[in-house]
Amino acid sequence: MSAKKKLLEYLRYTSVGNPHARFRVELDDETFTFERVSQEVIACPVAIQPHPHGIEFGQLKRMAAASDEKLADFLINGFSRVGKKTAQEMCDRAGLKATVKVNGLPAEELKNLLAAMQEIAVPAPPTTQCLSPIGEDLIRRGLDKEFQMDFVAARTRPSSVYSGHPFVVETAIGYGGRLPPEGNALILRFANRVPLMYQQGACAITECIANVNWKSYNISQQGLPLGPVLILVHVASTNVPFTSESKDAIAGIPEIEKEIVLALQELGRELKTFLSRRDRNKLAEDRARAVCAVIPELAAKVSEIVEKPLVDTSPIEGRLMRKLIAKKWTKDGNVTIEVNNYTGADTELSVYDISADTAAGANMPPAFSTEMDGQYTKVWKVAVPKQTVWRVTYPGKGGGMLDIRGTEDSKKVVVDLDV
Amino acid sequence: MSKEELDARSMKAILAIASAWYDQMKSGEIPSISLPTRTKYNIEYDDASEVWKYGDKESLRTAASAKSATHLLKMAYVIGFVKQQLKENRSSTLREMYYISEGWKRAKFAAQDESNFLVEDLEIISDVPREGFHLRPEEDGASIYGPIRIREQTRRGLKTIHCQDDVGGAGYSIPNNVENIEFVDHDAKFVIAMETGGMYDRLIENGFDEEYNAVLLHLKGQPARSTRRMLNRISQTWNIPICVFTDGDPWSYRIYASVAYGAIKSAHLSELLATPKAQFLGLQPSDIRDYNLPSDKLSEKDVEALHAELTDPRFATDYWKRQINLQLELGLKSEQQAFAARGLDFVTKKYLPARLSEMGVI
Repeated sequence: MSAKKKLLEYLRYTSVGNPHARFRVELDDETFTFERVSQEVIACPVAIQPHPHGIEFGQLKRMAAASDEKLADFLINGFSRVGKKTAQEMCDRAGLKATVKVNGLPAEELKNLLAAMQEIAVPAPPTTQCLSPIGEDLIRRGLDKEFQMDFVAARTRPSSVYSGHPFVVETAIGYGGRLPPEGNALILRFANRVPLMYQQGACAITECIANVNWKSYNISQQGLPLGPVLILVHVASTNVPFTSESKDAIAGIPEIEKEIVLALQELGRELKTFLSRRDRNKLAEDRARAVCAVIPELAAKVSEIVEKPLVDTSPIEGRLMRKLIAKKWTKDGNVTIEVNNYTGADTELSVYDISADTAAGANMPPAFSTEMDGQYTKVWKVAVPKQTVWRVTYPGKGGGMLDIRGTEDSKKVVVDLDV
Repeated sequence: MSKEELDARSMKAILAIASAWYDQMKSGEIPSISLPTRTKYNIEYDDASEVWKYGDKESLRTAASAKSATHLLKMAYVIGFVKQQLKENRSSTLREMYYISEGWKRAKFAAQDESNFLVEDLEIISDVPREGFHLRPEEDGASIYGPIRIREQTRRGLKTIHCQDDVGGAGYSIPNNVENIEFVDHDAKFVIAMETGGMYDRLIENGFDEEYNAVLLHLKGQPARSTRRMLNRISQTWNIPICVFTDGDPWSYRIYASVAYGAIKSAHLSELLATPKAQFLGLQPSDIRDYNLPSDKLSEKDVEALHAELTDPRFATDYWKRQINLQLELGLKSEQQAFAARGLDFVTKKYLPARLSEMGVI
């Protein structure tokens, strides 16, 4: 099937917009399953009567023809937020009697009525039950399921009204992970939970995204934001204002645009906080690498030059970082793994060492060891009291990867000195 | 200073750096080093020696980030390398050291520029010129032609050379280490240092050196250290006027500035390399106007460079302000060989005699 890719993309986005649903598709003898992230059935939106400010002539004509009520009752029962007083005002303004039967009104008088309905002030329609927003939590979980990202935040704005139509805007921003690191941001547009696949450029959502100054949130931008960024915008409304009958793009309605921009700005600030925290961590990691890897080498070289015994750099390490530092290095056909506990607390850890070495002949055999594709995963369960060092040595070539678990990421530094 | 003395001094200086780091690490401190900031905003005029030197702005490099720590590690490797060279009495070029660094793993240089810069750092910290580290620059020294007699300690023994009678048509090649030269005697009235080889050859061909007892020197663009050291020593030893003759564009004025005042990059060696008595002969912006020379329009980069020179402390004299502003007004630049438009003899028969007598040299 030629459109398979686009089709799957559509289903994937639909799954993000409807995270309560699970669906399974068979395409060309292949099965694709999109899992649900929530077991709860979503609340069904409740139908409301049209609002006098959001009605068009054709609809009014149809409603009038189908009614056998008097004009005032027709207005009160057929529209939301119209009471006795408002109905009377509309009748007066249109120059019609409140008691006249609506199904007998000629088109000319219906036009006067429509004009009168627009002129009289009417409270905004109720918005809470007639719309079906996805919800911040479900958007986050739906995105987490389909896109593996380092950061996801979602925002559901308070509902609002344009020309008598209730609407609500929801947005989400994702960053990093498996998103493509370069190029324009990935934009997911939804109207009433339905993904909009075409005419991205003509859509008010796209324009709103381009109008946000992303640079102030540390995201580069050329029109659209650039880099590993995902932006989701969902517009739910009793009447989504599409630009055309094909329902591909949303028209630029100022009230909706304002909500979209506000929501994106809120999320932008959250993203900025995430990014600056990540950069700070990076800086700390950089510092840790310097201290753990380069300074010992500097010490070795300097000691050699001045022809004095090798100076011990562990006090510098301990002073700079009150952390758990795991190091691995290879010398003379032996691999050594060392864990320094510079923290103030005794710690129990699992040391994971994955490489082509079996660790046979280790001076401290691993708790267990498993093999996969010629790579051995060796695990030591160790207790490292504060301010002490744990060390293991085994014959081997080194390489592979090292990790320690049982402590927070922010408290540990892992360095392969051979790299 | 004899070679042995210089060797001993360099050994002591580099070991002092390593010892300082050793002691820092021994007392549990992060090793660090402080260096003068090497920009034009941190050079100052030294009244005693009449040259520009680094001011007291210093930047501290501590091994607390991967980048700075690696920088210090590279420096340690260079120190180790220099120590070995001094011990074994060998020498190598900067480029050779760059290739040797291939085996230094984490401390290997990413580019030649990096190693050059690092050696300059070492010179500044240790106050020893790189010749003391037995590191030779790649650049070859330029040529000199004129009535002077020098004695050079070559690898094949002591040689006495007269730079007109004992050399070929291209002159005497200035060696890398000018310290090995002894200045015997001379019959020269002044030195003209020229930017381009074309002009150098023109003056030799026209016999300008014999007619005016002039020493001709080819700078080869931005002059190498040995060339600048040569001019410095001629000026110090014989006290004869040194004139610098370059193209008439902003980049060439910097050639003059580095000869006369020292380069920003090597301001720590200004006393050895700069010749404060050197005078700018031309090509002056006013010559472009007065001689109506064939010229090119200034490019955007040229204009930028001229503006940069207006803020460079080395050009902060009335003469240069006037000339640079005139050039900005004219919007033109000319090459020194543009004089050929008036005939091949014009420069030696008319321009140079007129300009030199205006400067009071002849």
